[in-house]
Order: sequence, then structure tokens, then C-alpha cells
Amino acid sequence: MRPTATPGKTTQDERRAAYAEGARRNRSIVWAKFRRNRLASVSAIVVITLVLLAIFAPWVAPRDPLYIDMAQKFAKPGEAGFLLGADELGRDILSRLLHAGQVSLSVGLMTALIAVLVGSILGALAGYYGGAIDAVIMRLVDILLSMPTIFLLLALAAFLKPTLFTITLIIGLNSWMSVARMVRGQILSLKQQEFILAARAMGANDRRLIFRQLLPNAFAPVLVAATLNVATAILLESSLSYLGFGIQPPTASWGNMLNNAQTYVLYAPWVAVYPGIMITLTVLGFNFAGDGLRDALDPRLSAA
Amino acid sequence: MLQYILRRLLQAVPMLIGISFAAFVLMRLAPGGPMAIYAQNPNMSEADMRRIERILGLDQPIHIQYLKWAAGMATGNMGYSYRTGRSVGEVIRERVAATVQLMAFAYLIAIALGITTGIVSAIRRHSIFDYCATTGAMIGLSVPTFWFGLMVIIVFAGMLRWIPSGGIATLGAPFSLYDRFIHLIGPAAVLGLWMTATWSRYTRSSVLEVTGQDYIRTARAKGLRSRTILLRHTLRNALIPLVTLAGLEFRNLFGGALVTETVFSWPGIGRLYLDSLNYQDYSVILGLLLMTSVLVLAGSLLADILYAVVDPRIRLR
Repeated sequence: MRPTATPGKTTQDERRAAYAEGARRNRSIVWAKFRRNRLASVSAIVVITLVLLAIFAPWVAPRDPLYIDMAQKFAKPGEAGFLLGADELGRDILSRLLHAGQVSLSVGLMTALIAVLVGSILGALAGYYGGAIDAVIMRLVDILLSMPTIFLLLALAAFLKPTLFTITLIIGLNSWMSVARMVRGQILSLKQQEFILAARAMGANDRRLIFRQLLPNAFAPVLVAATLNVATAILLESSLSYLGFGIQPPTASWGNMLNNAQTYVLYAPWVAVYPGIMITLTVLGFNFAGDGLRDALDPRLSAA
Repeated sequence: MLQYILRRLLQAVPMLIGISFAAFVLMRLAPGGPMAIYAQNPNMSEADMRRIERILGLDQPIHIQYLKWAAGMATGNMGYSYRTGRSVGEVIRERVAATVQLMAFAYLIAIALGITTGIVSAIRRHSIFDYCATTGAMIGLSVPTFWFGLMVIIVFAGMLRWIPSGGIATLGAPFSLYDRFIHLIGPAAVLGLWMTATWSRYTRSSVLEVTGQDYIRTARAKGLRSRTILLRHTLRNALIPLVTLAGLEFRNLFGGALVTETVFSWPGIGRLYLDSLNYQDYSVILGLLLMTSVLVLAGSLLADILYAVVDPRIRLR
């Protein structure tokens, strides 16, 4: 009989260390899988670059994005030091693109945050409590999902004073439904599992069960949904701004830079081309990164 | 079957009430309320305002207003435009044909192109075609529709001069089918190609899922030709779930149509909606919001019912 370490009896510190080690190993497996996905890695790099460019726009941008110079109206790309040309008011398109990135990206990221917070909480409540709470929340989801997004957003944007804050808020409050449905499904299956019974037996209350046991286990799909949500939100913001109901000029957003594009698109096409490329690049980046994350986080797909 | 359909229809009723109430309250919460448009007129006296309020029934409590409005809606009376005084139903009806035309063509393009690429992609999985198709579909989902439309205008209307840059027909010209078609092809292609992305992704994964089923392996083990397996077994089962997509895509379709109509100055309900927002014509906004929502709801209902028709397993649940 060996006198050391009674089997099945470990100190709390040892258990914590083992747990942390396991979590670290899981993270590195996910990270390795993500990096091996070339499309996803490149997308992540593109997204990070775009975010950095937006953050440092005031230092990177060659000119003041709001400076109007009618003499340089519709300067062609490369002309008079305008790398990407000038718009209908002689403003530098490159500088406007960089500054607009701040607006579009922050709307996208903040919206995803709202969608995830609201969606996770409501989804968890619906899944955990069931019954009347579930019915009310899920009917609300159904109703919101029956109204065409752009129609509803336009009405809300027209009634509120459109600012960065209100636009983020209304897009966020219209994007949480799919997260809620997904989290609800996750919670429904998780709450049947034995670790929940164990936690309850140890005296965990509802709040602790939901926030410390159930939601953390639904983290992976929520992270994927959040990433894809950023992409959708950027598209929605750009559509609203293009239609004139989103971010208001003179503040530039990739969408509102195309505001009046129709009228001169045929003789100054460059004004319309670049903002769309930025939107597509960003949205594509988040979409591919989200798909990559989903594959990396899915334990059914082997690391090999 | 009949019982299933009736049950689904009954479930839609509370949804309908919920949607209409949400839309109605939204309009009443709007700044200035429905009277905003009259308040802008400097010649309006306070007494005039009260009189119009009474005529429009706006002096009554909100739940009475809702019930009256809902009763009107149910009998086909959608109220009157605050801007022009014309009946909302009439104003909308004028624009519906243009939007239906656009959507129908776009749907046709999306279904034909999307299903074909999806099937070929799935059969030749990991081929160059599959790679291009899936990447293309992802790009299609990431490109903003309005920008895609502008690019189509730059290339096909500006540079190549194949299509006009907008509108539904040449102004002043006599009606000709060719003229209508040449105006339609641009916006329909933009909206259609955008939806093609969803259709091809959906088809591809559906076909791949069926390909992995046991009965396909059995069919192959029986020695059937792969053509027969594909046509009789794989596609027959893989295309069934697509029925639901047709109904579920309504929501995106309306949003896409609104944006596309703006880019191509297409005189449909999307343009009408934007114009009404600009003029704070709340009754028309409300009518359109409700109409599109009801159609989206009907779309998902239709999807459920069609799915039950083609797949008997669903009915039994």
C-alpha cells in the first residue's frame, strides 16, 4: 500500500490547476485549428488590419476628411495628391474611407455586443424557466422575425434622431433574436445534463446555475454568432446610411459616402467604387473568420 | 393534414395581432405623432388641428383607435394618406405590380441559378467549381446590394450601354415588352444574384446531407447507375427542404427589393415606403409595414404547410 495521494482525493488547488491546464490545452487546440484554416487566418488578419487602420485613422489619413475644396471637385484617383480621388465636394476619399471605418466598425462591434447580451440573457431565461416566460420571449422573437428588418429599422431611424448611438441601439435591438433562439436550444439540452443536477445538489441557486454553469457552456456557438453578427450589422448600417436614414453627413460612414452616388456614378465612378470595396472586405472578413471559428470550435471535426 | 393546416393557421392569429399592435404603437410613438405633417403648415390654427384630429379619430383613447384601425384593416380599409388624402390601399396598389414583377424575376433567377450551382457544387465536392461557387456565394452574401447595383449601373449602363440606368420604362415612349424587359433585367439580376448565394449554399448542404444517408449507400450497393441514384434518390430527397426556403426568404426579399428599387429608381413599394418616411405619411408607412409583415408571416406559414405536404413525417408530430 502506497501511503501517498489517496486516489479520488485531490485538494481544491490541484483540481483548479488541472482544470486550468485542460482549458489551456483546449484553447490551444482551437487556436491551432483556426490557424490551419488559411481562409480564416487571412480574414482575421484583414479584419485586424482594418480595425487598426480605423483606430489610427487620424494619423494615417493624409488629409482632413471633412475639408471641402470645391476646386478639386471630382479629382481623379492619383490627381493632385488624392490617392483615391476626391468626392463631389473635393474631399479626400482615402481619408474619408479611413475615418468612416471608425463609424462602421464600431457600429458593427457594439451591435454584436448588444445582440449577444440581450440574446443570451433572454434565450437563457426562456430555456431555463420554460412555461410562460418562454412563451412570451419566443413570441416576441417570432414577431420581430416577421417584420422585414430594413422596413422596421427605417421606421425607427426616421422617428429617432439618427446618431451613432441610436443607430447602434436600433440595429442591436433587432439582431438578438437568432442568438436567443440558439442559446435557448443550448440551455434546453444542457440543463438535462448531470453536472447541472450536481450543481443544484450543491445548493446553487437559479442565477448561479444560469450565469456560472449554463451560459459558459454555450460560449462557443455564441462567439461564432457574435462574429457573424458583426458582418450583418455592418451591412445593415451601410444600407441605412446609404438610404439617408443612418449616420448623417458630414460624418462619413461607408454607407453614406454612397448617398448621392446615383447622380454622378456615371461620370465619377471612383467615388462609388471604394466605399463598397471596404464594406465587402470587412463583411467578408468577419464572415470567413466566423465560419473558421465555427469549424475550429466544433469538437466533432478532428484537429487532424 | 387538414387538421395540421388548421392548427398552423390558428397559431398565426395571435402573431398577427401582435405584429399589428406592435406596428400601430410604433407609429403612435413617432415624434409629433400622426399630426406632425399638419403642424408644419403655418396657416393651421389650433382649432383646425383639433378638428382634423377629431375627423381622423385621433382624439380617442389609443386602444379604441387600435380597434377601429384593426377593424378597418380586416375589412380592407387601410385608412387615408395624411399627405394626399387618398386611400392607402389605392396608393399601395399602384406600386405593387412593379415590385411583384421585380421580385418574381429575381426569384426565378435565384432559384434556377442557385439550385443548379448548389447541386453541381455538392456532386463535385472539393473541385475547382465547388471552390469558386462557395467562395462566390460567400462574396455574394458580403457585398452590399446597393453597391452591387451601382457597379452594375457603372458597367452595363455607363460603359457598355446595354441597359438603362434606372426606371421602369422609357419616358414618353409607347409601351413595348422589349423596353420593359431591358429596364427590368438590371434590378432583377442584382436582387436575384444576391439571393442566388443563399439558394446555392442551402442546396449544396442539403444535397451533401442526403448523400451521406444510408439509403444512398444501399442504392449504390444494389448496383444502380449513379445517374439513377442522383435523380431518383438524392435529388428527390435533397430538394424537399428547399420548399421551406422559398417561404422563409420573404423577409430578406422585401429588404433587398427596397434597396434595389432605390438604386434603380424602380417605382415599387420600397420607394413608396421611403417617400412616405420622408413626408411623415404615417398611415401609408403603417399600411406598408403591416402588409410586408403579414406577407412574411404568410411566407413562413406556407413554408410549414408545403413542407408537411411533401414530407409526411412532419404532419405526425
